[in-house]
Amino acid sequence: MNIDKKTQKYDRQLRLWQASGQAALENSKVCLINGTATGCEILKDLVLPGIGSFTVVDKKEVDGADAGISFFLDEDRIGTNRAQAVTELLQELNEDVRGFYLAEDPISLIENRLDYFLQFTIVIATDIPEKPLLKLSEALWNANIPLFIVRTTGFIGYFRIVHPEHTVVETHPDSIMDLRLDVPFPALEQYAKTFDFDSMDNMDHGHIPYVVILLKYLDQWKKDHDGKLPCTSAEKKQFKQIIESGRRNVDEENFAEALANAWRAFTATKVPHQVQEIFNDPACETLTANSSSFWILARAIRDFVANEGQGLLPLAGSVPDMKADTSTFVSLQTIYRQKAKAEIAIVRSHVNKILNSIGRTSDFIHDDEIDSFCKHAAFIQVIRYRSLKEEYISDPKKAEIDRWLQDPQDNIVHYVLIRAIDKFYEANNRYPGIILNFKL
Amino acid sequence: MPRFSHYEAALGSQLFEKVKNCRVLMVGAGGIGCELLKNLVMSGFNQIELVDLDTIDLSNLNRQFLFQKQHIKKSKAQVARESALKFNPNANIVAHHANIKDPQFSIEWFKSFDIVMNALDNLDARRHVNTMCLVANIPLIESGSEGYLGQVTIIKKGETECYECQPKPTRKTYPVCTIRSTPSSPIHCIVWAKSYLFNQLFGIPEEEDEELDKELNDENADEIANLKAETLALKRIREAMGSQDYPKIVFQKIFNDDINRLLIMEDMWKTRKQPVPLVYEELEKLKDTESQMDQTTNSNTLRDQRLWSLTENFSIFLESIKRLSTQLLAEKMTNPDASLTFDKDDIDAMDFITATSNLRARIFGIEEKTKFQVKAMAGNIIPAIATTNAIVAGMIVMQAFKVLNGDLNECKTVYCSPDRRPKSILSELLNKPNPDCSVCQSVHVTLNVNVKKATLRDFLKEVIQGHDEDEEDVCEVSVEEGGRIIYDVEYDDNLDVTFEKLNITDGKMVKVTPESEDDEKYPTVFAISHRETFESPNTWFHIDGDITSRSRTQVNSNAHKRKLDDSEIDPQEESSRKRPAVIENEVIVQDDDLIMTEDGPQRLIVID
Repeated sequence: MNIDKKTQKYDRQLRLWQASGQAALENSKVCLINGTATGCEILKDLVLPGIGSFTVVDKKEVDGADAGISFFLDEDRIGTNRAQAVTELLQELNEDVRGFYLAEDPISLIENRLDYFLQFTIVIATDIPEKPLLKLSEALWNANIPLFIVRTTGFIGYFRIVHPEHTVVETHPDSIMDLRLDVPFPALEQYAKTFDFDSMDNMDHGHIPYVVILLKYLDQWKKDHDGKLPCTSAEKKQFKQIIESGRRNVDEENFAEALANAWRAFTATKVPHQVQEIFNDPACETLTANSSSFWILARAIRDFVANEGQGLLPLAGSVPDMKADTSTFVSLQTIYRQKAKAEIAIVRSHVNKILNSIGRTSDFIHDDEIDSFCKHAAFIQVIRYRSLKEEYISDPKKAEIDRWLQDPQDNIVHYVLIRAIDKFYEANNRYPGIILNFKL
Repeated sequence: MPRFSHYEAALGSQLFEKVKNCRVLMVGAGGIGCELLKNLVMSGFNQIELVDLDTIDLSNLNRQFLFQKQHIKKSKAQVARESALKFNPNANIVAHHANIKDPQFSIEWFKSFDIVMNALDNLDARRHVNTMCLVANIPLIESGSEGYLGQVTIIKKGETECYECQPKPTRKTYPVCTIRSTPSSPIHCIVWAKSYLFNQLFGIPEEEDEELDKELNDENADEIANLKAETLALKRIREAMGSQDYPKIVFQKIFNDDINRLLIMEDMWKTRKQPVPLVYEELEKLKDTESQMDQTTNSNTLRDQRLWSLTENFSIFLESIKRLSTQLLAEKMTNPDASLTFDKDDIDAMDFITATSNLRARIFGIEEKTKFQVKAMAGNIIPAIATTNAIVAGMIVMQAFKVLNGDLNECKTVYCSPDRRPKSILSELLNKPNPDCSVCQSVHVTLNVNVKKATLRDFLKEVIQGHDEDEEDVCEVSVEEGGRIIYDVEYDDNLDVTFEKLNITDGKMVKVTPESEDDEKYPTVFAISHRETFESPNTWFHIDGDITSRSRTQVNSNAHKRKLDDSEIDPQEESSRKRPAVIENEVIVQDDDLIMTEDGPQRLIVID
């Protein structure tokens, strides 16, 4: 499929996760353990948007009940291998995705060839009892491969992610606005000074970008108020009135924009709390040869903030649409971009220093990665999960569970029941509640 | 083992029986629709009718999994049915490739269902189905999704909020002079290219573009007159379509002549930057020199996601005009009245809109946009993925189980929204109907009328005012049909026109709103049902239902009495009266789909 066709096919999702998200999806190799109805539903939602490949591991044969609950199995498939059957049908959903299957028993595979699972980007396990699950989860945990545990029974569903740490750079915030109105950098300050509002004709005056309007009035305000920003609501109101009084007529949309965005001028630029927490994380403090690029970059940014950045993150560098003529807008854009570029270069040098200190070459982290990290620095996230071993064995949080169980509405009761079903299965090699001719 | 043994075990045999025997109407076979149809056939629903007017497009395939490449351009309803039958050959599915607003889908037809499920992508159809379900008194499950957000709710007449109890955001419009003469932002250029130029060249030129606000005032009167002349000239140019020179003629007109005309209006440019017309010959020359210099510009980057150069816009403009003209002329061979409608997923149309809006932006010194960006701005694109739709479709079925079990009080409005982590699925209790809702609180009756004979005057006198004498007093109501004003106190042009000539025919809804101050504000809605003969030779009307209960609008007591005296009851009506769920004739309706014709993006009351 050519590149434009592909953009068109995936258009509705590209709007959500952009080209970089799509690339991550296309480079992924997904493993599904057991071609259950729920497993197929999950794979359907991954195959449609275009993962790289999937592999279904399952030794069972399709039976009538499978055909009844799994949309991907029709009655002609009864008696055939379930992994093969679902793979063929899932494959039809998207020709860009490669589908594979392994007609082997996943439990014996976990017992005998655990390494098999280490080739995947993620592993989704459905209907696996606790014991083999523990073994699988430990291997994947050590290899830093996320494991999804999925369970469904009747109207109840359960899933859990087992992964030491998930880091996100592109969190797709609604907007990356980083205008630095309260702390303009020298080039921006200089540029704003080139605008002499009073001597402008009406046309030029109506095209001053709102960023410049705000900078100009804020500069004046700071001069009149010991360098402080408008702070109380009365001061903010007063500041807006000053802007309003500079407006020559109500048709000046740029002044309307300045008023609508005045709050940005009152908001102090600083390192957000959750980013500060990431900086304080031990993983950021102590880097090793095994540190991921996320932590190396986080540390480089931290070093930047502490030094050249003077307490601020690198500039994001993008400028929102605003009323302005093209050449003014482009110069403003260039000022922000150049500053951002200069800061990225400084971050690059920090990155190189760190890489050098942990015995890595500088090509371990590409320029694109640094660009993106700097742009999203205010929005980065780290999510950590507990290991299955902690949950099942070393730290099951019995006291909490007991407390939650006091509330009959709490979903924890389902968790306990699902665990109990597993225990029952382990002891009796069958699920509870099975009546003679009714086999689950 | 029987196919549904698991389900029967989970649902219990009583509910499972209800599921098996219930008649479901599914409106929409798109993103949610595909997932929903899968869920329905897999959970034992046996009698399903589905309606969708759309055909399959490439951009559907990332989520609408019942469709594949070989199905592109085929009916969604038909293909969805065929694909679903493969998986459950026993299900009884009827597919209609049609608009749910078509008269064939009458109130009576809606009444034949036990439950209606909306899987729609636009406000207009949602409003219509809402109305029909209120009238028919059938429970409706309403749903929507946008990106990672999804929503499901239940609408039941008299018990819950209806779709219109809360106001819906209306679509943004732009003053016509901003679009046509003084654009100042990219969106102005895009609206111009899409709503004005595309329609003028390839669509139905007379069709009013609803994105334009054409309100006249003293300031813009002259310019609007000029614009009319400009449009006329363009219409003449359209006759040259298909000729070798056509793209050049259009270019010359819109990017040069019209701009020069604007420049003459000196007042317009006192506070604005003057536009700079483009010269065809200069661009052609520029194109030649560029192509000699560089043959391989940016062949590796996505053409849709980077800005095009001036000459690229120029070339793509000329090419896309040629391609769209060829397409239209080919269609005209079979249908002389053919026209093209803008489709955001049509490559030629998007090329045209992008190049045209960028050339215009260049003229007015406005920032240019990539095709990817233009598409989002021109097309109201709603991001959509299979995962959200699957969740939503699952929630619909869960709510349907409760409805079928008679547990309406346990139904909830359910949202899925990852922004509200850690709980991404949230539910809230259903709201009671809004007492001020003009839709679910209005009174609905069926008006049997001989549309060929009865005039608007007859209607006002006999039905609304209730006297036959030739008194010339003004009837203080307004009468609307499908968003058109038929009559009000200051507009009586239609009084002596028949219903048929007014295009108020079988299946249409006429809304009568009292205008005098002492009247209750609730409108009365008449569902028109054509009938040739009446018991009394002096009338063309017969009302089914009681229009006095909620409204103080005067009603012809004779017409009403006729109803009470009527011994002949329609047997079909009689049988439906026996259905316990349906309270005959005491219904609620309004048809006011006038402004919205496309799906505007709205938070959580959404789409697909």
